[in-house]
Amino acid sequence: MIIQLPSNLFDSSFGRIKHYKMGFFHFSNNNLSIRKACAEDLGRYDPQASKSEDVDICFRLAQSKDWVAVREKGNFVRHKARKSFPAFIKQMWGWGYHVGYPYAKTGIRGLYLYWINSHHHRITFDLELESFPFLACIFFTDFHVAHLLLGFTLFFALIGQFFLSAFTLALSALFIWRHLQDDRKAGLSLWKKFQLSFVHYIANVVFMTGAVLGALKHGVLLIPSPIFRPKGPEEV
Amino acid sequence: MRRIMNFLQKVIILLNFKPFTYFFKAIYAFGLKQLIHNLKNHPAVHSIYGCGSFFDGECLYGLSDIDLILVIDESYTRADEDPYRMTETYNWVRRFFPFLGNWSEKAENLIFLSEVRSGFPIPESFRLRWKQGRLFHLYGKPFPKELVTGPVSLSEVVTEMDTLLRMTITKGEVHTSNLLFWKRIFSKLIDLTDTLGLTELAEQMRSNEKLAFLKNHEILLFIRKSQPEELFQILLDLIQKIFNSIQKNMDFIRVTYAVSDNGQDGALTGEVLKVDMKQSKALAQICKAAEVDVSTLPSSLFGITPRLNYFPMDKPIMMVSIKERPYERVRTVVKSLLKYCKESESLLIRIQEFHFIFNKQQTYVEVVPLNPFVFANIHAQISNGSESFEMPVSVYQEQKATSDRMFLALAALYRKNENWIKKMPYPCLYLEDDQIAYRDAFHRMRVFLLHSDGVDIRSPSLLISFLGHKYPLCEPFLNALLDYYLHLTGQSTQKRVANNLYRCLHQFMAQMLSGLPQISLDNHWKRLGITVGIITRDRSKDLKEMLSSLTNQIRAADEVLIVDNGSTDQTRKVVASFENKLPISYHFLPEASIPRARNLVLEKAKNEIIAFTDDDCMVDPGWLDAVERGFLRADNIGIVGGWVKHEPALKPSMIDAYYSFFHHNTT
Repeated sequence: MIIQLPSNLFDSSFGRIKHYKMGFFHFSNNNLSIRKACAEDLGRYDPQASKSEDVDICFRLAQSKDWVAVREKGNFVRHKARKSFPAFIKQMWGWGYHVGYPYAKTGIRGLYLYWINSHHHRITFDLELESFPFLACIFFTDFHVAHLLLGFTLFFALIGQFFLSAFTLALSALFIWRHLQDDRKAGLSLWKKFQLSFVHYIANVVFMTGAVLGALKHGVLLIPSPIFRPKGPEEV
Repeated sequence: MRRIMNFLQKVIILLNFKPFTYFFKAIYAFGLKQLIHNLKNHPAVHSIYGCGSFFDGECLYGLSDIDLILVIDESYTRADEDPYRMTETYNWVRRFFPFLGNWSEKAENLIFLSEVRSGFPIPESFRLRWKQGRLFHLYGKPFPKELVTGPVSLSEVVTEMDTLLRMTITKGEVHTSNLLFWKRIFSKLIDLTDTLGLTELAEQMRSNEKLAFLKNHEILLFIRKSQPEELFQILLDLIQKIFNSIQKNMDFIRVTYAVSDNGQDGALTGEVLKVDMKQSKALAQICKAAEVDVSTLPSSLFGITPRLNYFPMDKPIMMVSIKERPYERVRTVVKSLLKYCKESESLLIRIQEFHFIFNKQQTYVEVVPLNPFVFANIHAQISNGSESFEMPVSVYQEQKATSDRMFLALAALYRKNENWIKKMPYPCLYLEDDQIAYRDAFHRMRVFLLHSDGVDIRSPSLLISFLGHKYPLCEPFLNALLDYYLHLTGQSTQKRVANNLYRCLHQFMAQMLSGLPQISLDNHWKRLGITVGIITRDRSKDLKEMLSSLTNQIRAADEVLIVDNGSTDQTRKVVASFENKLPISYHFLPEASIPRARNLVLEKAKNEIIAFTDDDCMVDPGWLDAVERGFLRADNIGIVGGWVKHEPALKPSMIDAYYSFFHHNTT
């Protein structure tokens, strides 16, 4: 599992930033080393956490009192991409569908609402209410706003309010433009950028749909953030 | 919103007569009550103290006049979450009661009892106010009296004068363009002059014609515009006069330290540098904007305690000199620093005979004034390039005692973190910036040698060789430490870092700062047993590439444990072909379950560390070396992670581009 749900939003400068209650980190299985004593103490990998066992063990470590995780400089692994489009879609769906389980397993309840700025990928607004009947963890961004506005566009068009429909469409274009800023930075030609944005969009939709449905199965409302460009070691 | 607030503030100030003042006082008291009510819910609060003219009964309603100091309980440290949560609560309540002081400018408003108990100094402003009885106990247990004893000291008073200078530089033009702000500054200065016993000088200041406005009513002053340039110059002149009077009346001690300098500092004391855009873009922009001179100073210590560490020891210090129109130019420097410099970059600023450190923070510039008594060494260095300086006897003794306590406190801190890393209460990832950790350690070593051996060493290599002679048993570790420091500061090409260096550094610092004559350390090259765990299924081609990348590790794996999760392809043959190159052990698990396969790795692994990677990955040669280094940092490190780079396919598709850009840390 490579997607780091909220963790790619955090700088790791010790003690300087606000620590959000649902700001769990996790490392990908591609590059995760564990102390045997720690794994035994945490109760090993959970056989039920299929395809999200790395997320689950990192969440459990974050909740334990004794163990700490570090990201060590110079620790690099190279990973290959999926070779076909169906395999890629299957992987995205798998990541999304299974990520709800570790969230449900934390036993945390509450409403955790975070607004993530698409520009620097940081949380700019948060609402953390611990007394809530179930876990609702929502990472809201321009991507979600654009889709909401597109929904309104469709609704207004259907009821014949074409002026309002055009207005919401124009507004959604603004949010889409903001959301696509990562794709714009990719340094590719215009056509390639368009292709990249298309793949990115499909990945987001598949991943998010999977995450929402998979989490609901465990009684959790999880709306993850779209997939951002992760930070490299030189940027941390 | 700000405009509305400013307008309301002006209305309130102009309505400062009865019966409105009763009403405003009630609002202030209500705001304060709400704040204390919210703050006392935090278990970390030991006590809350208040100061400011609201408590003195001379409050001008409409201007912030309530300053709170929070004392944090002994069981909490800076690494804990609670103090930050308290700051958030404070700022939240402040939204509704903006007359409460703004905390973002004042780090000294939080006092950690744990730090004070262990030997770190209490901020001078707290000590002075405490001794003068100007602190009002608002909540909690009283502050332990034994921690602040004795009469008001010279360093406390001059540090408070420094605070006045700092405020004139850091406060916005909204404040400094107002005569009321200057009345407060000058009134405090006169009070401090009285505290020093310089009553004659205080009287002269009161009768100074240029300061005649001090006698006017505050509301009148609020309406009148000030001339900040002129007033700033008067402030500088008056403080200079006070400093001159102190110099006449005090007993001084001459302190001389031997200086060890390898001559590579490029010290050009007094010589004006021509800074061009190639050398330093930021500095060139500052010179252009503020019309100031830049010169260099050899790497120097600021004061004789390990408190101020703003400049790297292996580079000369850049000093900006401002002579004329100081107020205007210093503000331009602050603005340019904010605009052009990188975060945490520092400059030494000289305004006539006054010196300051300007340090760029994320949203503001931290200003540290350097008075000529506590920081006598840097003044002597700047004015005549001398390593010998004169310091008031009382200040010298006080600073020496502070250093001794701080060394012991730092030693205790190093000992505590020797094999254990503090865990944050909320989920977080720990990554200490090695550059800061090692730079701090070198600075502390330098100040410690100044105290213990009377020598100021200005170069990292000389420092290490001096320590090598002093502690011969530690010489191999010290050389490895220097190699890594030079690598961190970009002065040498990358070498393999001694993997146990971090823990050895903690052990060394703990023992050295405690003053132990003999230091015993762990081996700075240490080995932990590492098993590489790979789960595979029907990817024999990828697995072959993975295993071949594993044969190139600079720190070889002790065991490579492969769990075949039900492959039907050539996997077994590929594994067999590597059995003579890698210490492979192969297990077959027909049930297709990755977590169960990982648990099998945990069960069968012969070593204490299991480094998991996937069969569609390839590892960099330094991978296991970095993993081992990560786990050696402390015993409570359970997981070590890193970064995932992209391995491009032979014929990259758009999916490949997508992975490289959105899933992998670098391409």
